[in-house]
Amino acid sequence: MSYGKSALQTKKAKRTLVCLLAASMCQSALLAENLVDKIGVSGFLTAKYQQLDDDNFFNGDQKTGVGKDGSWQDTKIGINLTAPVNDKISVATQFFATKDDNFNLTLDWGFVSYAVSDEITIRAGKIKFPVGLVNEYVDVGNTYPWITAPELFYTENLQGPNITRESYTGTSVLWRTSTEDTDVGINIFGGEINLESMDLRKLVGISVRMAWNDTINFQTSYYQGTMHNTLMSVMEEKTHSNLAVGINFDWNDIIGYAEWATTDMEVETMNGTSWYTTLGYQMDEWLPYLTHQHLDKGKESTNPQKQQITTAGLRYDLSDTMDLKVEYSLIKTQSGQGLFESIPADERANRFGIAVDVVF
Amino acid sequence: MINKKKNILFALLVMIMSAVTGTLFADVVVITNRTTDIDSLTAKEVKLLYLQKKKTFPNGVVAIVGDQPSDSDVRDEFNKKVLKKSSKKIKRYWSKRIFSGKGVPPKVIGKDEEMKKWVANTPNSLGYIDAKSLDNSVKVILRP
Repeated sequence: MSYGKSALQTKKAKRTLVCLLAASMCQSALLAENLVDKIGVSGFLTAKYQQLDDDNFFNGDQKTGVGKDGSWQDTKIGINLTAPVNDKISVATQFFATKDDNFNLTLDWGFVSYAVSDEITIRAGKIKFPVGLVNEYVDVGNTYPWITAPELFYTENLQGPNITRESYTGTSVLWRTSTEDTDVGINIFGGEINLESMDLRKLVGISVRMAWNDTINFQTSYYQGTMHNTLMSVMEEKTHSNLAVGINFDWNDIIGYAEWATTDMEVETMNGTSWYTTLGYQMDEWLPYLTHQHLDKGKESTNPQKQQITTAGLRYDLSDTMDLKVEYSLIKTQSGQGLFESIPADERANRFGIAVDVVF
Repeated sequence: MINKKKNILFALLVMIMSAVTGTLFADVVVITNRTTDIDSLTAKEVKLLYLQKKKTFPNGVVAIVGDQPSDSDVRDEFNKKVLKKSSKKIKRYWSKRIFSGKGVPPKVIGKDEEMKKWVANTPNSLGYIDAKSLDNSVKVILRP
């Protein structure tokens, strides 16, 4: 009898469990359906081919740089997912794969945002570095005129200008306000950056942005951090600081960019200044432009680097979301190697490039 | 008889012309749910909400903003009259925000009938339709 009761209880319990499981599965399915419905998916792709007329490699080595045999360097694809959790909280993430890294999929950035109010947002996670006018979308070629964002300002490697970084891990407090014609934003950020060549810890910075009528955009930033695990022992525990100023405009079909930055690493060979300027004129789908970039690094050291790039380019918009670009650049290295793999034999080198950018 | 034919032809021509101009120059109206505690907005306030530079109505309530699909003539008219930007510039604006993680564009709801139904059923919503599709299920908040 007791066995019978027990069996009945077991049966009832099983039925309850099955009902609960079924209910929770239905709920999970509904939640999943809700979530899928809420997630926004976007992406971008750039295919580019560049060739140099010099026996050297630019902006990388034999595998990742541009050389005499031509290169599809920096051909890339990114997928972006955004999901609002509620009115205040959202999660956004971006995955990225590039030819330079054999198209291994990596987390480009991913963070959670909490909107404290209409004007204040707190973010935490892996966040795009908010230094430089285009750095937060530097891999999305369709958003700017050039085949590659000016390398003497935006390159992330030890030999480069060391101004911008891809992303940092940490937090930021973003304050922004918009009136009818003006947008003002202040971003206070902190955390750390982990690179192959070094870690930048105790990173703190501020970026201030102002825009008028989406026509003129001005940005200035300052950050500093302490360098650890560096390739050069002389850099260990030294302070890395950077000040940058930039302006861009899109006024009556005239398009312009100008940025200047100075980096101090308390090491003479690594201290430097970099700037570039771009001017273009939009004629329907066509945008011809000229860019001049300048890098001056280690000026007071025994190993100064002085390099300039002058580029003439043409962008053609195949649609609202797809473009084709061609560029010719004259790379002039007056001292050192700049972004070349080794010191070039000739002061002048020519580079040709063609690229297609898409956002979807 | 000839006059009658001429009149019919003229009437047909007028109808075709008005249909064509109606499509080309959709008279857009910005609408909200009837329960929304706001009676009017300026074009610039609507622009800030559509570009997600502001997320709340002037009374502090979060606005739920809906868009029409990119092949909609009403959307072209709305972009021109309210956002005052070409579709290319709007796409580029959103690319910069999406790929830096700073925001996503308003959800695409559908053309006039779907938009009207969504606004009528969603408190604090904001949408736009052709004035010809307007009825009393929704409230007009701006006639740009």
